[in-house]
Amino acid sequence: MTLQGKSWAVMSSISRENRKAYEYFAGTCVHGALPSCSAFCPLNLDMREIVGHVQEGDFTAAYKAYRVKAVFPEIVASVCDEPCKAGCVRKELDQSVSLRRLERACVDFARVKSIPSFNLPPKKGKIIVVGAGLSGLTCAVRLASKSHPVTLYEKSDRIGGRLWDLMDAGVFLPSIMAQLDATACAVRLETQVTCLSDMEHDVVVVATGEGGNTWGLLDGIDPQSFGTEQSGVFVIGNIRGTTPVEDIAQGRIAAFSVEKYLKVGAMDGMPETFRQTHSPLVMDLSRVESGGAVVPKSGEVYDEQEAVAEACRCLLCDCTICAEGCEFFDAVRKMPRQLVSDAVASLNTRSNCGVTRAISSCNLCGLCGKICPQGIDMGQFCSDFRVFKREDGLLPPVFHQFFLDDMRSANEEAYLARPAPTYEQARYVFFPGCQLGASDPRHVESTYHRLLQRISDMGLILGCCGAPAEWAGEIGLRDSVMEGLTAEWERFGRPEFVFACPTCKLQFERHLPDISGVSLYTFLLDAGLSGREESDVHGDSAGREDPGVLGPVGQSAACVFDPCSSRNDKSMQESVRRIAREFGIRLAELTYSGERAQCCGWGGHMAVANLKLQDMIARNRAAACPLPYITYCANCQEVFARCGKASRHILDIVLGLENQEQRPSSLGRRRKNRMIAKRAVLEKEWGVGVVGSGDTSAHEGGRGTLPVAIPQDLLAKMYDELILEDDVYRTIDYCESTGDVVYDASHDLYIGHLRSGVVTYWVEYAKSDQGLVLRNVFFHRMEIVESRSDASVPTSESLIRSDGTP
Amino acid sequence: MRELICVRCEVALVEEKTELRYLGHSVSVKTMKCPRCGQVWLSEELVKGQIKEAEMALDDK
Repeated sequence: MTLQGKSWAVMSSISRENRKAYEYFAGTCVHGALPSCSAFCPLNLDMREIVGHVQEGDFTAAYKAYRVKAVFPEIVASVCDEPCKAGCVRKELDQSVSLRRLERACVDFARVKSIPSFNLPPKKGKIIVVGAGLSGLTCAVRLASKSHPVTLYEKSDRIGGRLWDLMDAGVFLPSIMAQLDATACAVRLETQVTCLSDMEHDVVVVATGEGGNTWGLLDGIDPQSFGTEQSGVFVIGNIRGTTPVEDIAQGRIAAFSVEKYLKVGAMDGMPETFRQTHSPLVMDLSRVESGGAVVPKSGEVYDEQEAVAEACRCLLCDCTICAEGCEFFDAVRKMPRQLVSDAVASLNTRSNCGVTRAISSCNLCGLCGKICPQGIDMGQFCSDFRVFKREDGLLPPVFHQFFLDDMRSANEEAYLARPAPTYEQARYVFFPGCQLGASDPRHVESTYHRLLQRISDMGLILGCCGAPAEWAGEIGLRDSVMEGLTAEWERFGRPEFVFACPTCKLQFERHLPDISGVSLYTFLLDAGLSGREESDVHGDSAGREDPGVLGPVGQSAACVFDPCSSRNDKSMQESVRRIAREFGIRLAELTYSGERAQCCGWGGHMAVANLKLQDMIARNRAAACPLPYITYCANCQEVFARCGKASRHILDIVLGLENQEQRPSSLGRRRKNRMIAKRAVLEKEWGVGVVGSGDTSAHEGGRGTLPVAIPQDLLAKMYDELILEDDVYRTIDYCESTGDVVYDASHDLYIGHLRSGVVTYWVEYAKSDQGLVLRNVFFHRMEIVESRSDASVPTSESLIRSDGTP
Repeated sequence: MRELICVRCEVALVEEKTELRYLGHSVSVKTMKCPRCGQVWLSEELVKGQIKEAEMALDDK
């Protein structure tokens, strides 16, 4: 049994240790599968393509697409009994799309109908086709068009078989003759074939029609390839009872079967050409407007405008649920199967081929896996492939360097792990996550204070859970972070973790299942701590009134924006809603919420690989509903604040914090905020003053040089481009201390650069008596191969003095 | 046109090619350089244009 067609869930052999098996990851994806109308059609016509062209008014393209399987479009458009109508999903809503009339419109309005010839070299193997009805004609012209030597025998004096009884010869004869004229098919009329063995041939196709000679071949015919038990002999058409359209379908399939026989001697045909009768697509009609079929003014056939209008009723059925839920698929221009195929191929060539940027553009949020009817989670795929690409040295380090540095900063200078004051161990530990304090230190400080008032042995760990390492494909680094947290857990006496960040909670659940945890919001509710307390209210907004963007009590309405990492955490989602309602906020639901929550754009850290997509996602999420949002992930809050979307973190509401400035703080400010949070809790709860806290952002004064001012517009640019204030200070320090700087006399600016990690920063600054003013900053990843006469290449490492201090 | 002077050598920068390396590949671009000490100047236009394009192409290669 092969893995093909098996769902991811049952494919236990797919693991990071078995890279090759990923080939089957999206094996069950039904995007591009046959729509229901096509499955009902004996020809399996590609109605999505044909009708798509008609929708655009391109009847010539539609005609060409139609002819691929119809072979004789004029005939099919006339004699088809429209089985597709029974398959059209619109029949449940209003009326099936009139596909036969659309096919007729293709025939009537195509500007060009010439049949292309490919000048193929003649092929070996003599083929005779017995019977010049529709099935025989179809098989003969298909084989002859590929330069097979074909002779078509007909006992009567005319071609067309039963078509003479069904339609106007003035229509079907020109259609047939056009196809015959385009090939070198020999036609022998008035030639009765009585004994097959008398004729010189390699292949015989018997298409003798109703009541025709069977030569005893009917038993044991392969119903898909139309091969008989006699090698090299095929039987098709009305000899076994068919409709005219089925004649054409069988003739076409048999032509492929004959070709395979001539190549490899097998009679079992080509499976990809066999008739399909099942469509796996399930369409959601809930948002489709109803309206009946277009009625032709002429009574029978459409004019061009009518045809386009009717074509526009067609839904072009396909499965695009994942792409409707997430911008990723359109942005990378690959649907799951294609992405999987390209990614797996790139493993063999050990190259990127654009795959690395694609897998690095995914939020890894799991929404696609949740909404996909087959459960295909491309986030899991992209996550695993980031590991592979990193292992192969093909993941550009710069994609994640900023975030890994940020994680290091959170787990070094901003790190804190303490049992509660006067305690050695803890029943609970508050774990706010690295972004909560960075976003607003009061969220950490005030929340911990409130928790301590009720739970006196509540410990505290300020740090990162390791998610950025996982998103960077650095599994080893993630595991070492988690090992460190496990050690703290043991040291604290195996407490239960109280998580403010849904991502941290998810990471613990996935990788440290022995550690029990609860969301902060559920904990606050259960402990009766979710209401406003006098001691925690900041500013003038005492009581239960919300001070911020949500409006006055009783009149405020908002949407809870569920973070993607809360997808499977109904308890957390419901707790946040309960808290919001307790504050008198009326809640509306977003289309994508709960287990269908969409990522705000932050997840997976795509900012460097695909900033454009991240921005688009953020804007789309902000625009999803005009109501303000209530968030409970610091990253979502940051994203919406940067978009100018009215939004509040649920802790703002609980703690009565004044509305934060909608203008985002700088990246340096975020790191500084973590230090502020750490200092504040140490001073407030433990009475510990912090000296030399490692607050690396506190550099407004410059290091012994003149102060450096950074204008607001540049701070915004630096935020977009992930440049820290420290990067600027360090580069200017280098320029000023070494004299490695260029003077731009025409603008009175000093310009210098410094290699720092995987990027080179450039600064342009002006000097005045008051100090230095940054005028521009940018960076590139390429490393300058410098050939300075003093052989010194500026790197941030060269700033480390012999005593180890910067 | 910028008038660029190397502060250390006090001479004007001249046009010269500079080699840049990224992900194991090398490219050469026209830049301004100090004729004495070799100090380089790259414009933001060059960095955000030609160099960024090359970086992205090499990311995807």
